[in-house]
Amino acid sequence: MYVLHIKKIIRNPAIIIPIIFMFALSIYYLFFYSGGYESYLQGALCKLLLAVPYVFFCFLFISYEIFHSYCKNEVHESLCTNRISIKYQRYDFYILFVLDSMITLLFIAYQIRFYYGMGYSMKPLIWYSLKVAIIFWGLVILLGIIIGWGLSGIQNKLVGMSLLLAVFYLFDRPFLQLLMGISQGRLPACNFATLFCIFTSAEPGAITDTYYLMSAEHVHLFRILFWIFLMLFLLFQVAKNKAAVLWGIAAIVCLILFFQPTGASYSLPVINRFDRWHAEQFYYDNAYTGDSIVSTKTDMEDFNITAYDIDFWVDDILNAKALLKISDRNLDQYCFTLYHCYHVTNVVDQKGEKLRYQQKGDYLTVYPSNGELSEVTIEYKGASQYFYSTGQGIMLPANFEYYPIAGKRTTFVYNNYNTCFSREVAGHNAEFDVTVYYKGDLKVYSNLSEKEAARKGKYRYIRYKSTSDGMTIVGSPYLLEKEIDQVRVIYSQLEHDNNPTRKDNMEELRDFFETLEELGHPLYNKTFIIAPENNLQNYCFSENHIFNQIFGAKEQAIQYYKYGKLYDEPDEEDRDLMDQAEDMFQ
Amino acid sequence: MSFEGALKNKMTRILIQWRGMKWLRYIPFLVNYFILPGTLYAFSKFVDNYELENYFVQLSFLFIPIMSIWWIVLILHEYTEGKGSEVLWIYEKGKLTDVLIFLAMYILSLIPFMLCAMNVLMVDIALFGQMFAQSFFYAGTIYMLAFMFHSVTAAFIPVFAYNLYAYDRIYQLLEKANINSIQSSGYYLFIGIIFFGIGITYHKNL
Amino acid sequence: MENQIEIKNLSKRFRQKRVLEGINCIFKNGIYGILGPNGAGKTTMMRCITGLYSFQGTIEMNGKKIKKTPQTEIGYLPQKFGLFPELTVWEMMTYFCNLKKIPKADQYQVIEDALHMVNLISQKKTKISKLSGGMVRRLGIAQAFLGNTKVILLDEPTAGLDPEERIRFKNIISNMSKDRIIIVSTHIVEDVEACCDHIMVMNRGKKLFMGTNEKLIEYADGRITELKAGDLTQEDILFVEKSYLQDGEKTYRVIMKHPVEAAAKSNVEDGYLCLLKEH
Repeated sequence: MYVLHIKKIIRNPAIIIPIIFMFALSIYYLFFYSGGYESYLQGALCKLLLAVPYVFFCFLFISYEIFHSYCKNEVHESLCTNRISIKYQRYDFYILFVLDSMITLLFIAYQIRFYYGMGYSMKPLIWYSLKVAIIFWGLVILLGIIIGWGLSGIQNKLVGMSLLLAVFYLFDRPFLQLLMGISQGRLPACNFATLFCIFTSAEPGAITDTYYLMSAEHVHLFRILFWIFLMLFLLFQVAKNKAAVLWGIAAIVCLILFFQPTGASYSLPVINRFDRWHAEQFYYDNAYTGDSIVSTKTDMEDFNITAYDIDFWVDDILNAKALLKISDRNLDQYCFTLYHCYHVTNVVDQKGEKLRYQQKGDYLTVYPSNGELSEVTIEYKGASQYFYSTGQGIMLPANFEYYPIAGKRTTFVYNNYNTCFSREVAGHNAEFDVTVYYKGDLKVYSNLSEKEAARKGKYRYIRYKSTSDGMTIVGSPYLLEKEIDQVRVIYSQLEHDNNPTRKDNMEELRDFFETLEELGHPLYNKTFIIAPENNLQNYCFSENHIFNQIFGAKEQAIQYYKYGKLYDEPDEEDRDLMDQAEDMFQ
Repeated sequence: MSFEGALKNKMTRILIQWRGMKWLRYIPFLVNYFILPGTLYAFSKFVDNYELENYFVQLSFLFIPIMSIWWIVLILHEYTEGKGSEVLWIYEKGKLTDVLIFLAMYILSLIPFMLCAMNVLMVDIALFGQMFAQSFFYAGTIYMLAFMFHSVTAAFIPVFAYNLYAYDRIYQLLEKANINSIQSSGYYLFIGIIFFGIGITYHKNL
Repeated sequence: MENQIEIKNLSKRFRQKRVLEGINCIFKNGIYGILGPNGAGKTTMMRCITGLYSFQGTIEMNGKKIKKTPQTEIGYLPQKFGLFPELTVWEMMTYFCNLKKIPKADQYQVIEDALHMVNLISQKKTKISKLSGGMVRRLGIAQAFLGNTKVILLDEPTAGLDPEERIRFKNIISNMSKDRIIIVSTHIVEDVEACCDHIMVMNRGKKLFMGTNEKLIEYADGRITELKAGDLTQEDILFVEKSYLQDGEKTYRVIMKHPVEAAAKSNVEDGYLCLLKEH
């Protein structure tokens, strides 16, 4: 039976020529065409992502042509009479599925070839690549096959092919821009609009950074599966096949799962609230009113936190339970800073009594019920799209308020001259006893001292305990730890420009360490966590660690330690020009 | 036959072809006078005037040029793909005048829409000039491809694909090749004329 | 008025395939049937006469090259006909009257007569998509006869017609053949026998025979015989036409290579098959 169907496909020039052309072009594009992509990991991935919409369209068309032959030749009438219509067509579907697998394997082969060429040969990287290939190529192409199958039932070829094009257009950038335009400011509408983003952006920002790479979280799988099951439901429903019910239920389940909160950090083909590069800007566009950098140490800080005992569960989102020991016990209210993405679910005092609290934006106000408050336990959960904490990676630097900090601090600097997260660390020393529970093959590191590492059920955990003014936790399957000149350096193997093992970077690093010593803040026996390269440049200086990239670290350290400056400030003349420009725009 | 007689004949045939389109002939009116303004009205609830003007331009270029070839596709369908269409080829040496008449009818039907848009959204008439040039280009392309391939499907699909991606992927490709200026009105008219000419050549023989 | 179509050395090629080769013949007023198997070139020849195809050789009508002849003098019914499904019968006929430049004042009468002729007058307000296959065929015949046509070419006109309609068709073309050249292309021999004065036999793009029915019958004279199953091994047999039961025994009507004694009476079909098998 398969041989018959394969012969039918091979003998139809309208089908076999596009298939051969597509494979030939893909092989040429992947293995013989450079275009400047192969010098870095992002480039190689962008090269693959660029090809996906075109391959999708080819399969859409090929699938349509194959299945339309049943309509065209009126064979379906006799098939329907014998009630074997959709069953008979499954042979063609399986052949197309094999073609889909072949082209996905081509893409995987390209990636593995690239990794070996660059000297990356880690098993987690290959498994990750497989996952990405299946979600972003294999399943996307499968969707194209199923849509082509569904539309082939339309007898009129003009109408059928027009609908093919219209469907492709629905998933492509121009329509997405339209959709995003009208959903701005409406969170549910924005989220719904991301349902159409089956093609990932092929911009360099497709890769978040070299800790996390490109997001391959469940949300993407649910998105594509929803469309696949929906199309199958429609197809089987039209064919009056009872299996339609199952596909329908599966589609609904995937839709519900898609809308669950997720900490996945990804960029979209168009600007959107859920796009990691714009999430914070959209939020602060509405919330932020000031135009100056507010000092963090003096505002509404009437108490100190002397000790933290925190349990973090890193899953699709971050779940945390933080026990804080308070210094001043007799205030009417206690104000904490906790990033607005983390929603507090419970606050109890040292006796276990629930406390009244109010969370507004980045600030949490806790009202003690009666008497003194020596300890407060805050349970919260959520996820930031920029500083991610999921099964795919963790990047939680000390300057980011992912755990409650005493007082009201500026979390995000957004004015004419700077757009970045606040680079200031809490400032007060506290005792940290932190346990991080995580799944998967992450390697988790912190500036705090590691005490214990074990497994608890389906989670692995690491316990850290030491005194510090801030806590940075990073995690990735690609992290390595190395001692360079008595400094503990943590970095991603996939870094290119910031890889400390490169000769020129090593010299730069050593020069940086010497500068720090000259400035009176040596980093010996402390930690330097090399931050991955990405947008909204983030760095912080703590008493026992620095989180920064290699390039520029020296100049930034001088600015901070010598002049106390953490942000770019334009000189007087440029400041006036910028202010004038803003007034004109308003 | 006198010129007056020939003109009456032509008008009768146009009318019969118009009747032959059935309810499909109303699609351009539906799109231009209901769907397009309705969508813009919905947008106006969410966006400010400046953005609305942008959306008007985007949507207009998406719908108006492609609707201009709707009637043309319907009349060419019988001529190229109809059962027994060779009979028509014996008596009708070319559909050029019919195509141009339907194109002119479409442009005339857009006048009220144009006036509204210019009044309400302060849209420049030059924008419509651009759209009509693009419509002419589309009509020429359809004419050429329909007679080249004896199929309106083979003619319509590339034009439809171009319409969807003219100002996105296709523009980027043309930009890379430094020839994106061919998407200007002058070039559209020029290329449209060439395509009509090629279509006339292909029409000479079945 | 005597009309004449003269075809000299007509050849037609589609890419590498030669479809017509050196056809020479003359058509005058009357009914001509073109017989031939599928792929013989019948439709191609008709399309060359209508001016739809370019060709090598010459086709002249009444002394003028066919391409210079006003197309309104030609009526044509193609193999498949089903144009304008959304128009009514009357509207479609009006459209063709328009194409054939029939004056508006005369159109009503012309259409009425044509529809009466094919017995479709009761359907004049019916949409073409609602007509049966046979009715659409009759409509096609009607449009071919519209106007002041001198040449009418009918490609498979009786396909889809019931026996009563086929007899009616025969009567129509018999009545219309005065002062006209009517060329009917078919592979139904009975229709040719019943309607046509002259027959042209084609095969593989070549003309095999042109003449009257009687002349074609003569071709198989004396060569038709009936044999039993056991006699079929004879080497002298050219072609086994058909089999039937006779006195409870299977009998075969065969064409012999040479004349035989006690031969059966031959007919047009026998002559046609003889020609095909020998060329």
